[in-house]
Amino acid sequence: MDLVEFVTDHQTSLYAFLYRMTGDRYLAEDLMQETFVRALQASKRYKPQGRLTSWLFGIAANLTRDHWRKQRNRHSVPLGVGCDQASKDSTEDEVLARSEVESLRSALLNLPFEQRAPLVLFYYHDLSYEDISKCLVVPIGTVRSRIHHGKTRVRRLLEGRRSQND
Amino acid sequence: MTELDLGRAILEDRHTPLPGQPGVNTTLAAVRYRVSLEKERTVRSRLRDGSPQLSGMLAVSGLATALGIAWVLSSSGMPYLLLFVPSLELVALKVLVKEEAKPI
Repeated sequence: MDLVEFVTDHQTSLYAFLYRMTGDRYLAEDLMQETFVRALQASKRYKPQGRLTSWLFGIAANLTRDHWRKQRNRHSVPLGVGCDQASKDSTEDEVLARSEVESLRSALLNLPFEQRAPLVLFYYHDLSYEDISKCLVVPIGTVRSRIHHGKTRVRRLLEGRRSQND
Repeated sequence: MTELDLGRAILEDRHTPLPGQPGVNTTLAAVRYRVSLEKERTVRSRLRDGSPQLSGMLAVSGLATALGIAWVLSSSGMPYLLLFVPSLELVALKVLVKEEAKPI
């Protein structure tokens, strides 16, 4: 396995996944590095059954879950926390759009890990139910229902946020 | 909020850059460093606990040492052979460390 190619090909998607899972750039970077190290160590045992990316997401998801288990009291992030603030020189439209994005990112961070991981993998990384099922080692039906419940919860959180602003 | 609104927000989010994405070179350097640390830790623990590979090599070199001593004592063999036989143990250690320290 060529390390340079490996990192170049997967760094962006892995970082994006971990950032959305943690809401913390430093933690995401740390977990991404650890994911690459684990993948290199396990590369001899790797059997290509699905997409390599799915396998990497699986390792990353396990590392994230282990991290949250160790720090249980940090699993819930209030709305608006964990996202960069809009810069002062942005136009009004940009600020509004960014504020929507920030609310969505915060809402995702308020989901439990079991709902957040499949939701992010499905909507942000275009993984199929089957890929997510292999990646997170849960039945396809469970993936489907977790995505559905996660989505409902995100909508409710965003509606709550909107009514607060109005 | 409708399904469509959520879809739009997700699409917007997908196209909004994430903060703090590190460069490839930074990640490569960090991964290499972590892997080397991990290897060093493995070698140290193997040397401390004694891996089967190392035990085997040490057993063979120990046997060779004993045979060498017996040979020198029982015949007119050349004593300097004794100097070579224990060095097998060093070779064994070197081989193991080299194996663990292969570049990635």
